[in-house]
Amino acid sequence: MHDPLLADSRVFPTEVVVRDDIEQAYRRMYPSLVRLAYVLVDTPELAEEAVQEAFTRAFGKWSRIDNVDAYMRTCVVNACRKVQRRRLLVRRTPQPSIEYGALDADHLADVVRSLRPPMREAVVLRYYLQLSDAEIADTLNMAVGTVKSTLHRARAQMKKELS
Amino acid sequence: MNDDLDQNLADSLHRRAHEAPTDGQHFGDVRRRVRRRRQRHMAMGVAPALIGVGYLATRPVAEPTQSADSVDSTWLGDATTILPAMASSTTWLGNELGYRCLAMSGYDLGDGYIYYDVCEAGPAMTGDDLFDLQAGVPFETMDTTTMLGNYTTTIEYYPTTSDNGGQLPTNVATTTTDPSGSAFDPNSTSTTQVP
Repeated sequence: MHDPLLADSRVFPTEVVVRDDIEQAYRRMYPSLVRLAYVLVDTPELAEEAVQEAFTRAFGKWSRIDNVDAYMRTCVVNACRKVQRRRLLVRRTPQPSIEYGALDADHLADVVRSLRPPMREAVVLRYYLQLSDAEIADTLNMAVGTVKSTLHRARAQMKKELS
Repeated sequence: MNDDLDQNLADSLHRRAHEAPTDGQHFGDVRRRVRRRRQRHMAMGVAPALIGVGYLATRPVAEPTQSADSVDSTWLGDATTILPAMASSTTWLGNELGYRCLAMSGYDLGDGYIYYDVCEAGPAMTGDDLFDLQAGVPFETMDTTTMLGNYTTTIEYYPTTSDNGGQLPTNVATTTTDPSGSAFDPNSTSTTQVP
């Protein structure tokens, strides 16, 4: 089958330009995005899977993306959310526990991991990526007020856990 | 307290994040994923079309339906006999009463031969008169001759005075002759022998 991804640049110059762009962006962003995903999903395999999936989804529309960094950040957060949702489904059926034993003991990080997905994402975006409320709202596709209240509730819950 | 928590949170998350291995996969993996994704989407689009074409190619072909006026072709089970076109003759019987008996076009597959039936009212005859005829009310001797292929069947109706319960007159003499003019017994004729 003919694949434009592998096409000759003389025949499909646009595809090749797009491919180069996304490839360069991939090399530049991959480590930071994997770290972000790792904080959200806890396992390196799932983190890499989430980043790969995010780039796969972005591939077809790469030339139309304005803010690549913000777009890919959102994509990765969404992919991680999908992973967490799937993991919740798996947890409903009796299965051996995975991945948590591999993590280093870090009480604060454990508390963050115990938060529900919207809170956990907001906390990670705020405290790990140091994003503003508006940027978090943009990434999580929610209102700024909702971000503020979510962070407030997350902080209160973490304080309660730590006390 | 808040500042401490915020700072501790940031430190903890950074430590956790830097535990992640970042030298794993390459862009080639993304390319493979894109290709698989396209193939999957294409398969999802093509599969219904293939199923439709497969159904059309393998569906059982319906038996040819026989139109109402195609009396010259009759399904006889495993063997098909193409029967000759039957002369559908209309003969006026008893002109003074104004009714006619139709030598109906048809083959009685049960008996293996033709059937003649039904008298109908002509312009001067009412439905009651027709009933009387079928009930065996006396009427003049009459006969009708029907040509069926090379066979000739002559039916003779005789007058009667008895009521036979609304059936056609029973005292009917039927004579059938074959092309040579010899008498021919239609009851002894099997379906496949119908000319």
